[in-house]
Amino acid sequence: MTLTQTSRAALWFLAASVLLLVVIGASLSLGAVNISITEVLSWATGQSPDGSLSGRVLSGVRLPRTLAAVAVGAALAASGAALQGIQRTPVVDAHLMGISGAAGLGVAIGYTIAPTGASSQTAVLLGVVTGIGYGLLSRRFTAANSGSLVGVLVGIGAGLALMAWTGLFVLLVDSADVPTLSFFIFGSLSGASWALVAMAVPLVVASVAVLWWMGPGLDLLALGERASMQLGFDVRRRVPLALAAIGVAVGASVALGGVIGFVGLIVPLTIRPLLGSVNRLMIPASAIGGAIIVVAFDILARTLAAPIEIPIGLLTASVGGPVLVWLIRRETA
Amino acid sequence: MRLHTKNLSYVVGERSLVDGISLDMPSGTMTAIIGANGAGKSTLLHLLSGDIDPSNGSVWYDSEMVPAIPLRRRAQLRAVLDASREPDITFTVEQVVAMGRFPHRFDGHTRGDTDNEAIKEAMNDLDLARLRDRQVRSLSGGEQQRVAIARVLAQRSPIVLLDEPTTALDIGHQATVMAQIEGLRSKGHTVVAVLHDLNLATVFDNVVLLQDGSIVASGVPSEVLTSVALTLAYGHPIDVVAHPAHDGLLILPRTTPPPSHP
Repeated sequence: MTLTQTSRAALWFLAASVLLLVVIGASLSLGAVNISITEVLSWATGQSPDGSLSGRVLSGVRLPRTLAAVAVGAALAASGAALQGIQRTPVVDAHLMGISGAAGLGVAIGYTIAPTGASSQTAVLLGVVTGIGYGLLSRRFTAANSGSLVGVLVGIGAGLALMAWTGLFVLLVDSADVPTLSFFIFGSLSGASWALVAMAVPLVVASVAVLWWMGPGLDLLALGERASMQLGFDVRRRVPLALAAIGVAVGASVALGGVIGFVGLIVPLTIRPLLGSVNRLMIPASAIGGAIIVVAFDILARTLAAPIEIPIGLLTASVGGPVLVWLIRRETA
Repeated sequence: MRLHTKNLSYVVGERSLVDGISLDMPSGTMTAIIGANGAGKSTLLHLLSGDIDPSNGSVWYDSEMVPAIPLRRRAQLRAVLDASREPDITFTVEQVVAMGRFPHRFDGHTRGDTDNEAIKEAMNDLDLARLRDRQVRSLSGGEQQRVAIARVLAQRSPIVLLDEPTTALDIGHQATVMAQIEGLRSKGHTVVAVLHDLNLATVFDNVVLLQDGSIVASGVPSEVLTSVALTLAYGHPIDVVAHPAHDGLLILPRTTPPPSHP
Protein backbone atom coordinates (compact mmCIF):
# COMPACT_ATOMS: atom_id res chain seq x y z
CA MET A 1 0.00 0.00 0.00
CA THR A 2 1.37 3.39 -0.90
CA LEU A 3 0.95 6.39 1.35
CA THR A 4 -1.19 9.19 0.02
CA GLN A 5 0.62 12.42 -0.71
CA THR A 6 -1.00 14.14 2.26
CA SER A 7 -0.04 11.50 4.80
CA ARG A 8 3.47 11.26 3.37
CA ALA A 9 3.87 15.02 3.79
CA ALA A 10 2.46 14.90 7.33
CA LEU A 11 4.87 12.09 8.22
CA TRP A 12 7.78 14.03 6.72
CA PHE A 13 6.97 17.19 8.69
CA LEU A 14 6.57 15.23 11.91
CA ALA A 15 9.91 13.42 11.49
CA ALA A 16 11.72 16.60 10.46
CA SER A 17 10.33 18.55 13.42
CA VAL A 18 11.48 15.85 15.84
CA LEU A 19 14.91 15.82 14.20
CA LEU A 20 15.10 19.61 14.44
CA LEU A 21 14.35 19.45 18.18
CA VAL A 22 17.04 16.79 18.60
CA VAL A 23 19.75 18.83 16.86
CA ILE A 24 18.68 21.97 18.78
CA GLY A 25 19.09 19.99 22.03
CA ALA A 26 22.49 18.76 20.88
CA SER A 27 23.52 22.27 19.87
CA LEU A 28 22.62 23.59 23.34
CA SER A 29 24.39 20.71 25.04
CA LEU A 30 27.67 20.41 23.08
CA GLY A 31 30.61 22.82 22.99
CA ALA A 32 33.60 24.09 24.92
CA VAL A 33 31.63 23.43 28.10
CA ASN A 34 29.58 20.26 27.76
CA ILE A 35 26.21 20.58 29.42
CA SER A 36 24.16 17.42 29.92
CA ILE A 37 20.73 17.15 28.34
CA THR A 38 19.19 16.90 31.84
CA GLU A 39 20.78 20.24 32.70
CA VAL A 40 19.56 21.74 29.40
CA LEU A 41 16.04 20.51 30.11
CA SER A 42 15.95 21.79 33.68
CA TRP A 43 17.28 25.14 32.41
CA ALA A 44 14.67 25.20 29.66
CA THR A 45 11.88 24.55 32.18
CA GLY A 46 13.25 27.25 34.49
CA GLN A 47 14.36 24.87 37.23
CA SER A 48 18.13 25.49 37.19
CA PRO A 49 19.61 27.73 39.90
CA ASP A 50 20.09 31.38 38.94
CA GLY A 51 23.60 32.37 37.96
CA SER A 52 24.94 28.84 37.41
CA LEU A 53 27.74 28.59 34.82
CA SER A 54 25.74 26.29 32.57
CA GLY A 55 22.72 28.60 32.79
CA ARG A 56 24.83 31.60 31.79
CA VAL A 57 26.46 29.71 28.91
CA LEU A 58 23.07 28.52 27.67
CA SER A 59 21.26 31.85 27.76
CA GLY A 60 24.21 34.05 26.85
CA VAL A 61 25.96 32.01 24.16
CA ARG A 62 24.35 28.74 23.09
CA LEU A 63 20.74 29.86 22.75
CA PRO A 64 21.38 32.92 20.54
CA ARG A 65 23.84 30.91 18.45
CA THR A 66 21.40 28.03 18.01
CA LEU A 67 18.53 30.39 17.14
CA ALA A 68 20.81 32.08 14.61
CA ALA A 69 21.67 28.70 13.07
CA VAL A 70 17.97 27.80 12.79
CA ALA A 71 17.20 31.16 11.14
CA VAL A 72 20.17 31.00 8.75
CA GLY A 73 19.27 27.49 7.59
CA ALA A 74 15.58 28.31 7.22
CA ALA A 75 16.32 31.52 5.29
CA LEU A 76 18.85 29.97 2.90
CA ALA A 77 16.87 26.81 2.10
CA ALA A 78 13.46 28.50 1.77
CA SER A 79 15.03 31.17 -0.48
CA GLY A 80 16.66 28.43 -2.52
CA ALA A 81 13.33 26.67 -3.04
CA ALA A 82 11.62 29.92 -4.09
CA LEU A 83 14.48 30.93 -6.42
CA GLN A 84 14.36 27.52 -8.08
CA GLY A 85 10.69 28.18 -8.83
CA ILE A 86 11.37 31.66 -10.17
CA GLN A 87 14.36 30.61 -12.30
CA ARG A 88 12.63 27.38 -13.38
CA THR A 89 15.66 25.26 -12.63
CA PRO A 90 16.40 23.07 -9.60
CA VAL A 91 20.09 24.03 -9.59
CA VAL A 92 20.13 27.59 -8.30
CA ASP A 93 20.17 29.28 -4.89
CA ALA A 94 20.91 32.68 -3.33
CA HIS A 95 24.63 31.87 -3.13
CA LEU A 96 24.95 30.97 -6.83
CA MET A 97 22.77 33.93 -7.82
CA GLY A 98 25.14 36.33 -6.04
CA ILE A 99 22.50 37.51 -3.55
CA SER A 100 24.57 36.27 -0.58
CA GLY A 101 27.65 38.02 -2.00
CA ALA A 102 25.75 41.30 -2.34
CA ALA A 103 24.38 40.99 1.20
CA GLY A 104 27.94 40.28 2.41
CA LEU A 105 29.17 43.56 0.95
CA GLY A 106 26.24 45.34 2.60
CA VAL A 107 26.98 43.76 5.98
CA ALA A 108 30.67 44.74 5.74
CA ILE A 109 29.75 48.32 4.89
CA GLY A 110 27.17 48.30 7.69
CA TYR A 111 29.74 47.37 10.32
CA THR A 112 32.08 50.10 9.00
CA ILE A 113 29.64 52.98 9.03
CA ALA A 114 27.62 51.91 12.09
CA PRO A 115 27.12 54.48 14.84
CA THR A 116 28.49 53.40 18.23
CA GLY A 117 26.25 50.88 19.97
CA ALA A 118 24.21 50.04 16.86
CA SER A 119 26.67 47.93 14.83
CA SER A 120 24.52 44.76 14.73
CA GLN A 121 21.40 46.65 13.73
CA THR A 122 23.22 48.62 11.01
CA ALA A 123 24.83 45.44 9.66
CA VAL A 124 21.45 43.66 9.42
CA LEU A 125 19.85 46.71 7.83
CA LEU A 126 22.55 47.15 5.19
CA GLY A 127 22.61 43.40 4.51
CA VAL A 128 18.87 43.40 3.92
CA VAL A 129 18.94 46.54 1.79
CA THR A 130 21.71 45.25 -0.49
CA GLY A 131 20.01 41.83 -0.59
CA ILE A 132 16.77 43.39 -1.81
CA GLY A 133 18.56 45.74 -4.20
CA TYR A 134 20.62 42.98 -5.78
CA GLY A 135 17.64 40.59 -5.87
CA LEU A 136 15.61 43.12 -7.86
CA LEU A 137 18.57 44.01 -10.07
CA SER A 138 19.23 40.34 -10.85
CA ARG A 139 15.73 40.11 -12.31
CA ARG A 140 16.76 42.57 -15.03
CA PHE A 141 19.61 40.29 -16.08
CA THR A 142 17.93 36.93 -15.70
CA ALA A 143 14.23 37.46 -16.56
CA ALA A 144 14.81 36.79 -20.24
CA ASN A 145 16.82 33.67 -19.41
CA SER A 146 14.62 31.94 -16.86
CA GLY A 147 14.88 28.20 -17.28
CA SER A 148 18.33 28.44 -18.82
CA LEU A 149 21.79 28.29 -17.33
CA VAL A 150 22.63 31.78 -18.64
CA GLY A 151 20.86 33.35 -15.66
CA VAL A 152 22.81 31.14 -13.27
CA LEU A 153 26.13 32.00 -14.95
CA VAL A 154 25.37 35.73 -14.72
CA GLY A 155 24.69 35.23 -11.01
CA ILE A 156 27.90 33.26 -10.44
CA GLY A 157 29.95 35.95 -12.19
CA ALA A 158 28.36 38.76 -10.21
CA GLY A 159 28.61 36.78 -6.97
CA LEU A 160 32.34 36.16 -7.39
CA ALA A 161 32.93 39.83 -8.14
CA LEU A 162 30.89 40.90 -5.10
CA MET A 163 32.82 38.50 -2.89
CA ALA A 164 36.10 39.95 -4.20
CA TRP A 165 34.89 43.51 -3.64
CA THR A 166 33.84 42.56 -0.11
CA GLY A 167 37.30 41.08 0.47
CA LEU A 168 39.04 44.22 -0.82
CA PHE A 169 36.75 46.36 1.30
CA VAL A 170 37.41 44.34 4.46
CA LEU A 171 41.19 44.41 3.89
CA LEU A 172 41.30 48.13 3.07
CA VAL A 173 39.09 49.17 5.98
CA ASP A 174 41.12 46.91 8.28
CA SER A 175 38.90 47.55 11.28
CA ALA A 176 38.32 45.47 14.40
CA ASP A 177 34.62 46.37 14.09
CA VAL A 178 34.27 44.41 10.84
CA PRO A 179 34.20 40.58 10.84
CA THR A 180 37.11 38.75 9.21
CA LEU A 181 37.39 37.94 5.52
CA SER A 182 36.64 34.29 6.32
CA PHE A 183 33.17 35.31 7.63
CA PHE A 184 32.31 36.75 4.21
CA ILE A 185 33.50 33.70 2.28
CA PHE A 186 32.82 30.66 4.48
CA GLY A 187 30.60 32.07 7.22
CA SER A 188 30.57 31.57 10.98
CA LEU A 189 27.93 31.66 13.68
CA SER A 190 30.42 32.50 16.44
CA GLY A 191 29.43 36.16 16.42
CA ALA A 192 25.69 35.49 16.89
CA SER A 193 24.68 37.85 19.69
CA TRP A 194 21.23 38.60 21.11
CA ALA A 195 21.37 42.01 19.43
CA LEU A 196 21.82 40.36 16.01
CA VAL A 197 19.28 37.62 16.70
CA ALA A 198 16.62 40.03 17.98
CA MET A 199 16.73 42.01 14.75
CA ALA A 200 17.48 39.33 12.14
CA VAL A 201 15.30 36.40 13.26
CA PRO A 202 11.95 38.26 12.98
CA LEU A 203 12.98 39.39 9.47
CA VAL A 204 13.68 35.79 8.48
CA VAL A 205 10.36 34.58 9.92
CA ALA A 206 8.44 37.33 8.11
CA SER A 207 10.14 36.84 4.75
CA VAL A 208 9.79 33.04 4.80
CA ALA A 209 6.10 33.52 5.65
CA VAL A 210 5.71 35.83 2.64
CA LEU A 211 7.37 33.26 0.38
CA TRP A 212 5.09 30.52 1.73
CA TRP A 213 2.03 32.72 1.15
CA MET A 214 3.15 33.28 -2.47
CA GLY A 215 3.78 29.56 -2.96
CA PRO A 216 0.81 28.68 -5.20
CA GLY A 217 1.64 31.60 -7.49
CA LEU A 218 5.29 30.56 -7.66
CA ASP A 219 4.09 27.07 -8.69
CA LEU A 220 2.46 28.57 -11.79
CA LEU A 221 5.82 29.92 -12.98
CA ALA A 222 6.69 26.36 -13.97
CA LEU A 223 4.16 26.81 -16.80
CA GLY A 224 6.02 29.92 -17.95
CA GLU A 225 5.50 33.58 -17.17
CA ARG A 226 2.86 34.17 -19.84
CA ALA A 227 0.75 31.23 -18.69
CA SER A 228 1.10 32.49 -15.08
CA MET A 229 -0.24 35.88 -16.16
CA GLN A 230 -3.10 34.16 -18.02
CA LEU A 231 -3.98 32.41 -14.76
CA GLY A 232 -4.13 35.73 -12.91
CA PHE A 233 -0.70 35.74 -11.23
CA ASP A 234 0.75 39.19 -11.83
CA VAL A 235 4.33 38.19 -12.61
CA ARG A 236 5.48 41.80 -13.09
CA ARG A 237 4.59 42.64 -9.48
CA ARG A 238 4.72 39.36 -7.63
CA VAL A 239 8.11 38.08 -8.82
CA PRO A 240 9.88 41.29 -7.67
CA LEU A 241 8.00 40.96 -4.37
CA ALA A 242 9.27 37.38 -3.98
CA LEU A 243 12.81 38.49 -4.86
CA ALA A 244 12.58 41.26 -2.26
CA ALA A 245 11.45 38.71 0.36
CA ILE A 246 14.41 36.52 -0.64
CA GLY A 247 16.69 39.57 -0.31
CA VAL A 248 15.40 40.18 3.24
CA ALA A 249 15.84 36.53 4.27
CA VAL A 250 19.32 36.24 2.76
CA GLY A 251 20.45 39.67 4.00
CA ALA A 252 19.40 38.81 7.56
CA SER A 253 21.03 35.38 7.33
CA VAL A 254 24.34 36.80 6.08
CA ALA A 255 24.36 39.30 8.96
CA LEU A 256 23.83 36.38 11.36
CA GLY A 257 26.20 33.80 9.94
CA GLY A 258 28.13 35.22 7.00
CA VAL A 259 28.15 33.72 3.52
CA ILE A 260 27.35 29.98 3.62
CA GLY A 261 27.02 28.02 0.40
CA PHE A 262 25.22 24.84 -0.69
CA VAL A 263 22.45 24.86 1.96
CA GLY A 264 20.00 26.60 -0.36
CA LEU A 265 20.85 24.20 -3.15
CA ILE A 266 21.07 20.82 -1.45
CA VAL A 267 18.07 21.01 0.90
CA PRO A 268 15.33 21.68 -1.70
CA LEU A 269 17.01 19.27 -4.12
CA THR A 270 16.82 16.52 -1.48
CA ILE A 271 13.22 17.27 -0.51
CA ARG A 272 11.76 17.65 -4.01
CA PRO A 273 11.68 13.91 -4.83
CA LEU A 274 10.03 13.16 -1.46
CA LEU A 275 7.36 15.86 -1.26
CA GLY A 276 7.05 17.10 -4.85
CA SER A 277 7.44 20.64 -6.09
CA VAL A 278 4.34 22.31 -4.66
CA ASN A 279 5.79 25.41 -3.00
CA ARG A 280 3.30 25.64 -0.15
CA LEU A 281 4.94 22.41 1.09
CA MET A 282 8.41 22.89 -0.39
CA ILE A 283 9.05 26.28 1.24
CA PRO A 284 8.23 25.32 4.86
CA ALA A 285 9.81 21.87 4.41
CA SER A 286 12.99 23.48 3.07
CA ALA A 287 12.99 25.93 5.98
CA ILE A 288 12.89 23.06 8.49
CA GLY A 289 15.41 20.98 6.53
CA GLY A 290 17.78 23.94 6.19
CA ALA A 291 17.53 24.64 9.93
CA ILE A 292 18.43 21.01 10.72
CA ILE A 293 21.43 21.08 8.37
CA VAL A 294 22.87 24.40 9.58
CA VAL A 295 22.39 23.59 13.28
CA ALA A 296 24.04 20.19 12.73
CA PHE A 297 26.95 21.64 10.74
CA ASP A 298 27.45 24.37 13.31
CA ILE A 299 27.83 21.70 16.02
CA LEU A 300 30.48 20.03 13.86
CA ALA A 301 32.16 23.38 13.17
CA ARG A 302 32.78 24.05 16.84
CA THR A 303 33.45 20.51 18.08
CA LEU A 304 35.42 18.68 15.32
CA ALA A 305 38.70 20.54 15.88
CA ALA A 306 37.97 22.21 19.25
CA PRO A 307 39.21 24.56 20.52
CA ILE A 308 39.72 25.72 16.92
CA GLU A 309 36.46 26.55 15.13
CA ILE A 310 36.13 25.43 11.51
CA PRO A 311 34.28 27.95 9.28
CA ILE A 312 30.85 26.35 8.73
CA GLY A 313 30.87 27.10 5.00
CA LEU A 314 33.98 24.94 4.59
CA LEU A 315 32.02 22.02 5.99
CA THR A 316 28.83 22.64 4.00
CA ALA A 317 30.89 22.94 0.80
CA SER A 318 33.03 19.87 1.60
CA VAL A 319 29.96 17.70 1.99
CA GLY A 320 27.54 19.68 -0.19
CA GLY A 321 29.71 19.73 -3.32
CA PRO A 322 29.90 15.95 -3.76
CA VAL A 323 26.26 15.53 -2.70
CA LEU A 324 25.23 18.07 -5.33
CA VAL A 325 27.16 16.21 -8.03
CA TRP A 326 25.52 12.95 -6.95
CA LEU A 327 22.01 14.47 -6.87
CA ILE A 328 22.39 16.04 -10.30
CA ARG A 329 23.74 12.82 -11.78
CA ARG A 330 20.80 10.91 -10.31
CA GLU A 331 18.37 13.57 -11.56
CA THR A 332 19.72 13.54 -15.11
CA ALA A 333 20.44 9.81 -15.32
CA MET B 1 -20.37 35.66 -22.15
CA ARG B 2 -20.11 37.56 -25.42
CA LEU B 3 -16.64 38.11 -26.83
CA HIS B 4 -16.36 40.81 -29.44
CA THR B 5 -13.75 42.99 -31.08
CA LYS B 6 -13.90 46.32 -32.84
CA ASN B 7 -11.49 47.17 -35.62
CA LEU B 8 -8.69 45.27 -33.87
CA SER B 9 -5.11 45.88 -35.06
CA TYR B 10 -1.67 44.93 -33.86
CA VAL B 11 1.32 46.55 -35.48
CA VAL B 12 4.98 45.65 -34.97
CA GLY B 13 7.26 48.18 -36.64
CA GLU B 14 5.84 48.75 -40.10
CA ARG B 15 4.00 45.44 -40.27
CA SER B 16 0.39 44.80 -39.28
CA LEU B 17 0.18 41.30 -37.79
CA VAL B 18 -3.54 41.82 -37.20
CA ASP B 19 -5.36 44.42 -39.26
CA GLY B 20 -8.82 45.86 -38.58
CA ILE B 21 -10.60 42.76 -37.30
CA SER B 22 -14.17 43.07 -36.03
CA LEU B 23 -15.74 39.87 -34.72
CA ASP B 24 -18.75 38.96 -32.63
CA MET B 25 -18.70 35.68 -30.74
CA PRO B 26 -21.84 35.19 -28.62
CA SER B 27 -22.27 32.77 -25.69
CA GLY B 28 -22.71 29.14 -26.65
CA THR B 29 -20.89 29.38 -29.96
CA MET B 30 -17.71 27.87 -31.36
CA THR B 31 -15.52 29.97 -33.63
CA ALA B 32 -12.61 28.52 -35.59
CA ILE B 33 -9.75 30.72 -36.72
CA ILE B 34 -7.92 29.32 -39.72
CA GLY B 35 -5.28 30.52 -42.15
CA ALA B 36 -1.78 29.77 -43.40
CA ASN B 37 1.32 30.06 -41.21
CA GLY B 38 1.98 33.70 -40.33
CA ALA B 39 -1.61 34.78 -41.12
CA GLY B 40 -1.96 36.27 -37.62
CA LYS B 41 -4.00 33.50 -35.93
CA SER B 42 -1.96 33.23 -32.72
CA THR B 43 -1.51 37.01 -32.48
CA LEU B 44 -5.29 37.38 -32.71
CA LEU B 45 -5.73 34.80 -29.92
CA HIS B 46 -3.24 36.67 -27.69
CA LEU B 47 -5.16 39.89 -28.33
CA LEU B 48 -8.44 38.16 -27.41
CA SER B 49 -6.91 36.84 -24.18
CA GLY B 50 -5.39 40.20 -23.26
CA ASP B 51 -1.79 38.92 -23.28
CA ILE B 52 -0.91 41.81 -25.58
CA ASP B 53 -2.60 45.19 -25.93
CA PRO B 54 -3.94 46.15 -29.36
CA SER B 55 -2.28 48.96 -31.31
CA ASN B 56 -5.77 50.03 -32.36
CA GLY B 57 -9.33 48.95 -31.71
CA SER B 58 -10.62 47.00 -28.73
CA VAL B 59 -11.56 43.59 -27.28
CA TRP B 60 -14.66 43.26 -25.08
CA TYR B 61 -15.95 40.58 -22.69
CA ASP B 62 -19.66 41.55 -22.56
CA SER B 63 -19.52 45.25 -21.72
CA GLU B 64 -16.00 45.25 -20.21
CA MET B 65 -13.00 46.28 -22.25
CA VAL B 66 -10.21 43.73 -21.72
CA PRO B 67 -7.19 45.87 -20.75
CA ALA B 68 -9.30 47.39 -17.92
CA ILE B 69 -10.19 43.99 -16.42
CA PRO B 70 -7.80 43.15 -13.54
CA LEU B 71 -5.59 40.12 -14.18
CA ARG B 72 -7.23 37.88 -11.58
CA ARG B 73 -10.76 38.62 -12.77
CA ARG B 74 -9.69 38.20 -16.38
CA ALA B 75 -8.49 34.70 -15.45
CA GLN B 76 -11.92 33.96 -13.98
CA LEU B 77 -13.57 35.02 -17.26
CA ARG B 78 -11.34 33.33 -19.83
CA ALA B 79 -8.98 30.38 -20.03
CA VAL B 80 -6.16 30.00 -22.57
CA LEU B 81 -4.52 26.95 -24.08
CA ASP B 82 -1.29 28.36 -25.47
CA ALA B 83 0.63 26.94 -28.39
CA SER B 84 3.63 26.44 -26.09
CA ARG B 85 3.00 23.24 -24.18
CA GLU B 86 3.64 22.39 -20.52
CA PRO B 87 7.43 22.56 -20.13
CA ASP B 88 9.83 20.33 -18.26
CA ILE B 89 8.45 20.52 -14.73
CA THR B 90 8.31 18.25 -11.73
CA PHE B 91 4.62 18.56 -10.93
CA THR B 92 2.10 15.75 -11.02
CA VAL B 93 -0.84 15.68 -13.44
CA GLU B 94 -3.27 16.48 -10.64
CA GLN B 95 -1.14 19.40 -9.41
CA VAL B 96 -0.97 20.94 -12.90
CA VAL B 97 -4.72 20.53 -13.48
CA ALA B 98 -5.30 22.14 -10.06
CA MET B 99 -3.35 25.21 -11.25
CA GLY B 100 -6.42 25.99 -13.38
CA ARG B 101 -8.25 26.77 -10.14
CA PHE B 102 -5.70 29.42 -9.11
CA PRO B 103 -7.82 32.43 -10.18
CA HIS B 104 -10.78 31.17 -8.13
CA ARG B 105 -8.93 30.60 -4.86
CA PHE B 106 -7.68 33.15 -2.38
CA ASP B 107 -4.06 33.36 -3.51
CA GLY B 108 -4.27 29.73 -4.43
CA HIS B 109 -4.20 28.36 -0.89
CA THR B 110 -7.63 27.13 0.13
CA ARG B 111 -9.18 24.43 -2.01
CA GLY B 112 -12.94 24.07 -1.67
CA ASP B 113 -15.45 21.47 -2.85
CA THR B 114 -16.05 23.29 -6.14
CA ASP B 115 -12.31 23.27 -6.82
CA ASN B 116 -11.95 19.56 -6.10
CA GLU B 117 -14.97 18.75 -8.23
CA ALA B 118 -13.72 20.85 -11.17
CA ILE B 119 -10.28 19.22 -11.00
CA LYS B 120 -11.71 15.70 -10.82
CA GLU B 121 -14.18 16.30 -13.62
CA ALA B 122 -11.55 17.81 -15.92
CA MET B 123 -9.22 14.85 -15.35
CA ASN B 124 -12.01 12.35 -16.01
CA ASP B 125 -13.12 14.20 -19.15
CA LEU B 126 -9.64 13.92 -20.63
CA ASP B 127 -9.05 10.35 -19.57
CA LEU B 128 -6.34 11.34 -17.06
CA ALA B 129 -7.62 9.81 -13.81
CA ARG B 130 -5.22 6.89 -14.24
CA LEU B 131 -2.25 9.27 -14.66
CA ARG B 132 -3.25 11.47 -11.71
CA ASP B 133 -0.05 11.08 -9.65
CA ARG B 134 2.38 10.75 -12.56
CA GLN B 135 5.03 13.43 -13.12
CA VAL B 136 3.96 15.53 -16.12
CA ARG B 137 7.45 15.42 -17.60
CA SER B 138 7.37 11.63 -17.67
CA LEU B 139 4.34 11.68 -20.02
CA SER B 140 4.23 11.58 -23.81
CA GLY B 141 3.62 14.75 -25.83
CA GLY B 142 -0.03 13.88 -26.42
CA GLU B 143 -0.61 13.06 -22.75
CA GLN B 144 0.99 16.37 -21.75
CA GLN B 145 -1.36 18.14 -24.13
CA ARG B 146 -4.37 16.48 -22.52
CA VAL B 147 -3.08 17.69 -19.13
CA ALA B 148 -2.90 21.23 -20.53
CA ILE B 149 -6.46 20.99 -21.87
CA ALA B 150 -7.69 19.58 -18.54
CA ARG B 151 -6.09 22.57 -16.77
CA VAL B 152 -8.03 24.88 -19.10
CA LEU B 153 -11.31 23.00 -18.47
CA ALA B 154 -10.74 23.07 -14.68
CA GLN B 155 -10.63 26.86 -14.90
CA ARG B 156 -14.37 26.77 -15.80
CA SER B 157 -14.32 30.20 -17.40
CA PRO B 158 -17.14 31.43 -19.65
CA ILE B 159 -14.67 32.18 -22.47
CA VAL B 160 -12.25 29.48 -23.66
CA LEU B 161 -9.42 30.30 -26.09
CA LEU B 162 -7.54 27.36 -27.61
CA ASP B 163 -4.45 27.47 -29.80
CA GLU B 164 -4.33 24.21 -31.78
CA PRO B 165 -6.01 22.02 -29.16
CA THR B 166 -5.64 18.78 -31.11
CA THR B 167 -2.07 18.81 -32.44
CA ALA B 168 0.01 15.94 -31.01
CA LEU B 169 -3.14 13.98 -30.16
CA ASP B 170 -3.94 10.56 -31.58
CA ILE B 171 -7.15 10.35 -33.61
CA GLY B 172 -9.14 8.89 -30.70
CA HIS B 173 -8.16 11.63 -28.29
CA GLN B 174 -8.75 14.25 -31.01
CA ALA B 175 -12.35 13.08 -31.01
CA THR B 176 -12.43 13.21 -27.18
CA VAL B 177 -11.18 16.79 -27.20
CA MET B 178 -13.65 17.81 -29.92
CA ALA B 179 -16.47 16.27 -27.86
CA GLN B 180 -15.29 18.29 -24.84
CA ILE B 181 -15.25 21.49 -26.89
CA GLU B 182 -18.79 20.80 -28.15
CA GLY B 183 -19.76 20.08 -24.52
CA LEU B 184 -18.48 23.53 -23.54
CA ARG B 185 -20.64 25.10 -26.25
CA SER B 186 -23.75 23.30 -25.05
CA LYS B 187 -23.08 24.61 -21.52
CA GLY B 188 -23.06 28.15 -22.89
CA HIS B 189 -19.30 28.80 -23.04
CA THR B 190 -17.82 30.93 -25.80
CA VAL B 191 -15.16 28.87 -27.54
CA VAL B 192 -12.53 30.22 -29.94
CA ALA B 193 -9.96 27.84 -31.42
CA VAL B 194 -7.04 28.33 -33.76
CA LEU B 195 -7.02 25.26 -36.01
CA HIS B 196 -4.67 23.74 -38.54
CA ASP B 197 -6.84 20.71 -39.24
CA LEU B 198 -9.53 22.20 -41.48
CA ASN B 199 -11.76 19.13 -41.17
CA LEU B 200 -12.23 19.98 -37.47
CA ALA B 201 -13.41 23.47 -38.50
CA THR B 202 -16.40 21.95 -40.33
CA VAL B 203 -18.23 21.31 -37.03
CA PHE B 204 -17.75 24.89 -35.72
CA ASP B 205 -20.56 27.47 -35.80
CA ASN B 206 -18.38 30.10 -37.39
CA VAL B 207 -15.13 30.01 -39.29
CA VAL B 208 -12.82 33.01 -39.71
CA LEU B 209 -10.26 32.72 -42.50
CA LEU B 210 -7.26 35.02 -42.06
CA GLN B 211 -4.66 36.11 -44.56
CA ASP B 212 -1.89 38.62 -43.79
CA GLY B 213 -3.67 39.69 -40.60
CA SER B 214 -7.01 40.44 -42.25
CA ILE B 215 -10.27 38.52 -42.54
CA VAL B 216 -10.73 37.22 -46.08
CA ALA B 217 -13.85 35.19 -45.29
CA SER B 218 -16.04 34.76 -42.23
CA GLY B 219 -19.28 32.90 -41.65
CA VAL B 220 -20.74 29.40 -41.35
CA PRO B 221 -18.40 26.58 -42.48
CA SER B 222 -20.20 25.90 -45.77
CA GLU B 223 -19.67 29.54 -46.82
CA VAL B 224 -16.04 29.90 -45.76
CA LEU B 225 -14.66 26.44 -46.40
CA THR B 226 -14.78 26.58 -50.18
CA SER B 227 -12.20 25.29 -52.57
CA VAL B 228 -11.62 28.74 -54.07
CA ALA B 229 -11.18 30.61 -50.76
CA LEU B 230 -8.94 27.98 -49.19
CA THR B 231 -6.81 27.57 -52.31
CA LEU B 232 -6.19 31.31 -52.38
CA ALA B 233 -5.52 31.62 -48.65
CA TYR B 234 -3.19 28.63 -48.36
CA GLY B 235 -1.53 29.04 -51.75
CA HIS B 236 -2.09 25.39 -52.58
CA PRO B 237 -4.92 23.63 -54.44
CA ILE B 238 -7.46 22.36 -51.91
CA ASP B 239 -10.55 20.27 -52.68
CA VAL B 240 -13.73 20.48 -50.66
CA VAL B 241 -16.07 17.52 -51.22
CA ALA B 242 -19.21 16.13 -49.62
CA HIS B 243 -18.40 13.75 -46.78
CA PRO B 244 -19.16 10.18 -47.88
CA ALA B 245 -20.59 9.13 -44.48
CA HIS B 246 -22.63 12.14 -43.32
CA ASP B 247 -23.82 15.49 -44.65
CA GLY B 248 -20.64 17.37 -43.72
CA LEU B 249 -17.66 18.51 -45.71
CA LEU B 250 -14.35 16.81 -46.33
CA ILE B 251 -11.34 19.00 -47.04
CA LEU B 252 -8.36 17.55 -48.86
CA PRO B 253 -5.16 19.18 -50.06
CA ARG B 254 -4.47 18.08 -53.64
CA THR B 255 -1.46 15.78 -53.87
CA THR B 256 0.27 14.40 -56.91
CA PRO B 257 -1.57 11.16 -57.67
CA PRO B 258 0.52 8.02 -57.53
CA PRO B 259 1.54 6.66 -60.94
CA SER B 260 -1.18 4.34 -62.18
CA HIS B 261 -0.14 0.80 -62.98
CA PRO B 262 -1.20 -0.48 -66.37
